Amino acid sequence: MNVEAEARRYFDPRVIARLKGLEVRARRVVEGHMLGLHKSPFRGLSVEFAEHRQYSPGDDLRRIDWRAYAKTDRYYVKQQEQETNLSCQFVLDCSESMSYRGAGPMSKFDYGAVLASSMAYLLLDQQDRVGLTLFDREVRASLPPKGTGGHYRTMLSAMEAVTPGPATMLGSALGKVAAQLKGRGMVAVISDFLDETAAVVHGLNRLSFDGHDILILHVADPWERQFPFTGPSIIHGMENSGRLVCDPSDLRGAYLQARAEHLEELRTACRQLQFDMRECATDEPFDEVLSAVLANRTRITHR
Amino acid sequence: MPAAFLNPLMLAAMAAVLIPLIIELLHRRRRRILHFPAMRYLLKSAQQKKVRLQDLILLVLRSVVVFVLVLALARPFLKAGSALWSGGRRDVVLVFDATYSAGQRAGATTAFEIGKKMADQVIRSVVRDPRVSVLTLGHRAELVAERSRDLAELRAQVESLRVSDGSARIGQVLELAADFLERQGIRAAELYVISDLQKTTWSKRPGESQDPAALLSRLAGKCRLFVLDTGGGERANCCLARFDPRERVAAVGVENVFDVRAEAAGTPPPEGPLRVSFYVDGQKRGEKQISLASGSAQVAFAHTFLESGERVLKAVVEGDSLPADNARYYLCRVPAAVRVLIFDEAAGQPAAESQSVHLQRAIAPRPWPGFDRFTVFETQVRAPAEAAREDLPAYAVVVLAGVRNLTAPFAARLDQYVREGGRLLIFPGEGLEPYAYNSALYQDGKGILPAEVEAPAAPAAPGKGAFLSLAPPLHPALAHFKGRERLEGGEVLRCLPVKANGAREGAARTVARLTDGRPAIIERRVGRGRTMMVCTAVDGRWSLLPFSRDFPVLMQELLRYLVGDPDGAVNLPVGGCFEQTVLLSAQHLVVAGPDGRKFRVTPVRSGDTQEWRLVFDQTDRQGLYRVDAIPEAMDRRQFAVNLVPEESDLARFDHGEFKARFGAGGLEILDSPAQVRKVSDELHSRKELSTGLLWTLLALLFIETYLAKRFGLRRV
Repeated sequence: MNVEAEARRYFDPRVIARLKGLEVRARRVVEGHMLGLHKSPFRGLSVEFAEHRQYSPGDDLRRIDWRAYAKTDRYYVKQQEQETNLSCQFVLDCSESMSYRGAGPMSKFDYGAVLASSMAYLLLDQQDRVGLTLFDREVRASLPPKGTGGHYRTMLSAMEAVTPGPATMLGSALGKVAAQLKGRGMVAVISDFLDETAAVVHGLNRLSFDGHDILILHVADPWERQFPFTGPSIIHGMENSGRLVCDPSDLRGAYLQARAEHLEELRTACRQLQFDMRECATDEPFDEVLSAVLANRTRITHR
Repeated sequence: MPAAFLNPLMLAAMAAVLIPLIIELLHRRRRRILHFPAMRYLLKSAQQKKVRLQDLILLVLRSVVVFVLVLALARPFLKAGSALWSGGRRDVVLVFDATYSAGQRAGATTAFEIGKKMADQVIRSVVRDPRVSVLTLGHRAELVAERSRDLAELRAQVESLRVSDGSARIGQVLELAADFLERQGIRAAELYVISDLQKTTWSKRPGESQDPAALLSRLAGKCRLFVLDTGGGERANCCLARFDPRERVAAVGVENVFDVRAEAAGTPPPEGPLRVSFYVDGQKRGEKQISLASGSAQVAFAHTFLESGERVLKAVVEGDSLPADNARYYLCRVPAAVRVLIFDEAAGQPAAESQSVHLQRAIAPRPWPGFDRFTVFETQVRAPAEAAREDLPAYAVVVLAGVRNLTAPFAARLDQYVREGGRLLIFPGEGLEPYAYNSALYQDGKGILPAEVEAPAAPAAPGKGAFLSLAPPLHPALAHFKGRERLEGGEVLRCLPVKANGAREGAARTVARLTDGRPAIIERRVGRGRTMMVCTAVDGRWSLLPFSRDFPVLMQELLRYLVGDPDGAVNLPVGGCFEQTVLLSAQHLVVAGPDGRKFRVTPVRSGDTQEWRLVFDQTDRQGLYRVDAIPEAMDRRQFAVNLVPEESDLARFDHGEFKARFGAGGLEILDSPAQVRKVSDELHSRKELSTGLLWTLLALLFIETYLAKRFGLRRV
């Protein structure tokens, strides 16, 4: 897929270049009717030879058609085992809190959007399908999974056009996403998760119940992580979460503790539900984040 | 109004109570605005309310701090009478330095009057439940009022105080004050010492134990000390230090010389000549000019009394700022003559037989026609048998000239005469019976004879006798002969031996000896009188003494010595004690002082003689005192009191010097009635609240700091 010619906000070729060769693997068996990398649940069914596919670095060497090589002196992969393609729905939080930009080079939403677009690109590149859901208090936009370049561009456009919403209601949004998804696939939730844990977990449970493979990407700004503010301040909470006149340095301890507790609740819930959860800050390089995520998933699926 | 403010203008600063609020609002504007997404971690709803409450608490606390500070600076006070007043009992002690230097002029008034005004201010300011005590220092320390609550009466009492003519030291009254406070159990008082800070008054006499600095330190432990400086301090002062006659024995028609000594105190001495005036009974009898450039000067005034009686003499030096020490008094009784009664067994017989003819001529030589009397003495000669008819006390001296025997009644009369103050002069003579004298007059030492006499030895041959020795040490009776070795021309051939030891009452004293060492003249005090015995006869048979040209002088001097100072008891220093026998009854008598004060005095019985005596010691004023009594009741009914010129040096301490020397325990010096009033008002009629408010402020600041730290918020 070629989108390099078009300059897009959430498409960073450099990131893509660094992620080249990585595969997005589903942890769970997923359904799909196209050939992809993911194990098919449909075992025992005869599959027909469909076509050769040119070898890409990283393909399994056992699947190389040596005869074709002898003949053509090129490497081809014989698609003899039916490969199922993956549907990955990116659920991206576009509430007001995600528009916060502190110490990081970009806002959390932008960061999440780049993560989503980069991962989506990889997925499309491995013939998987990608979809996008933007939500705040409610679902703002929903693009069902597709595998075309045009759909990818549509996704990018949707992310570029969205404006931050007033509040986050992740739990109810995830419920709606679950209702919209057809077939088991992967759901990557990208958010700052500034919502009640119980509601979030309820929504994730719904997705998990439907058999989806959930990837949680918790995005935070470095200032949210460190809370380094000092001096007399008036703190206005985004999403009308309140106002406080104080010296933040006096509340730092309590803030970090409260945040740690909240994240621990989230992690515990994800562990229990066997979700992947990765916390990332907006100042972390995208490729490192995605590499770590994808490598982890690769490691898991190769066991 | 029960409460008010000493600095009411400060209340305008109460607007500063809004400062914390303004700062808070300004800070809000200057506070950094942060938009932060993760507010949920900063506060839950309960914590948010708690933070708001904490904000409010600190804001209110800070406003209260400013309020209390402004209030404290405005110095609120409660007035006496307020329902909130708890001023408590106040013990106030006023100590007046009323020594005569306080009478010095200070502007249009005197230092003492200024001191009284200051004291009045203090008394006026003591409003509620007062206890005021007053002590004064004149010639001694006295407690005038003891914890008086009647302030009107006290003010009148203070107003009636007068500066005395005494010169006691301040240590006496400070010690009295300290003892008074201890005795009364007073632990907290205010003590005001009202003084002109004269150095003499504030010094310590040698031998005195009362050290003013130590006493003030002792008092500072119980009192708040104030020294009220009444001012004064003229640099130079002139005083009369002495005024008395050269001869204590006076008589009509005989010139007497009165010496006056003036001294200058302070520096520089008064400039120019000063006038000294001499008065007799109020009439000016002389005036002389003196100069005090050398520091002192002495002049003499001669006066012949023309009439007998009691005379009041006065010397005055022209005035300066301290008039008290510019005058001195002398009271003298001037008899027509000093009567001498000579008992001579040959009285009335031809002179050749007389034992006392030489003595008479020596005592009262007849003046030449046209000349004044030579001597104050006049003689009467009687035979011992006529003694019963004579009023012995009417004579200044009784002489026994060669009386051989003494009858018991005669001896008893002589004994009574001497013991009651008479003077007896005894000359032996031919035929004197030592046994009779010893048994009648010596009585084993209990009598009036100076010593036990023995039979005389045989007379020495002419030229082999002895002379009256005048070698030092010379007895005061013979002071006139100072510088000579012996009395020339008075060879003593026969002398009556005496045994001087063993006298039980008083010791015999040798007045003079012969050149061979034998006692020639002995004396002894008996009762209030005195006896003198010359151990040789004066009829010319035992010695050539009557023929010596010094014999009249010797007799005059011995008589003068015997008579002594007849006016000594009526010329006293300030603080001295007047004592006189009251003859008729023990009824109380009234003594009038020179300032018009009257004292009622009751005679007391004398322990040894059992006679009634008037004893009066309230002699704190200089001048003439009179006893209201008839002549039959008392012999001397007037006496003069002169001040002791110790306070004439008006040099005083300045405040710095005073504090350095006496302020170790802590004291405040105030030097004007207005200043005294201000301080007194603050102490007595007001109770300031600012101290309590400042402590409250400190507590509030501590609480604010603690809460700010606890709430985790910075101070504005």
